[in-house]
Amino acid sequence: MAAFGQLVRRHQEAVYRVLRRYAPSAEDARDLTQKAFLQAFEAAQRTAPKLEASEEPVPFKAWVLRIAVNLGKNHARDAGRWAWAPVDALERERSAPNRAQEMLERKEQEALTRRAVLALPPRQREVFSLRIDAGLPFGEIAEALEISEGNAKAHFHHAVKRLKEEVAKLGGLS
Amino acid sequence: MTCEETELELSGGALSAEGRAHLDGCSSCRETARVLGLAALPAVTDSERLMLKSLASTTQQAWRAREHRSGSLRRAASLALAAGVGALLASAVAVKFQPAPEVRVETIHVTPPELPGIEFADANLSEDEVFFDVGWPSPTEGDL
Repeated sequence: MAAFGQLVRRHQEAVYRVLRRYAPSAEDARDLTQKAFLQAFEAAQRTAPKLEASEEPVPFKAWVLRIAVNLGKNHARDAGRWAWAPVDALERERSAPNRAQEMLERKEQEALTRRAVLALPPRQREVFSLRIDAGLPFGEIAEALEISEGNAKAHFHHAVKRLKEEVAKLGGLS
Repeated sequence: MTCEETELELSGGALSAEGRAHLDGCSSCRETARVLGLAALPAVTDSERLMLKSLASTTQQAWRAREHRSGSLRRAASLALAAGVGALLASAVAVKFQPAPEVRVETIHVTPPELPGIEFADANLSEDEVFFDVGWPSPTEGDL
């Protein structure tokens, strides 16, 4: 049981950073993070006998991050929040009267770009989020998503290319 | 250094001297840096970190509760299964030791009732009977 706590403490920030992009509030992101760990423990419990037999180390970080990515995607889909959360954030900023015009424009561009991130094709979005939000090296991203490292880099490149196009189209870049 | 290599360096948040030199002379990579900056979420705040501090203990509690729940469910399912099997066995035994029911054969004589005389309706029809054609009412029929 103590090992569970240790695993949570070790990986909680990376998981939380990934889920923060999909959740409308910090509390929601925390709840999703807990859910991701519980699902990862369940997966570990199910496959532990097989892993013990094969003497391979338990790829817990890869599991929990893959679960986090899927949870975030499902949460955004079910709640229909992904399209609106950044706009809500923008509205909150707009309501603060002392913000400078430049700040407001920057916030608007950020909202547009983050919305474009969530509209990326699933695999590109997953790689992008694990790289930019969780700060994982491409090798670990590849392990978490069960793809090759080269493939992960290619997905990231396509994601950036697409984001640049989308943001330019939306007029997000000055 | 190529644009792809610079992009990978930019994604890690740190640029080498070569990367910096490339960025200074490449407008496409500067745009990449700008888009990555816009897409990145703000840093995790102290209040968020504070909130995460209790995550390990709450997750452990939730895990224990889940284990307890699934243990109870397993026990309940086992009991239900055992009860079902017991009931099945008991009914099989009861059927086996039940005496065969006695069958009695009885002959009953029934006299059919007498039917009244039947008169056929078409017996009174004549050959020169007149038939009338009656059409459907028109849609406006009956309107005033």
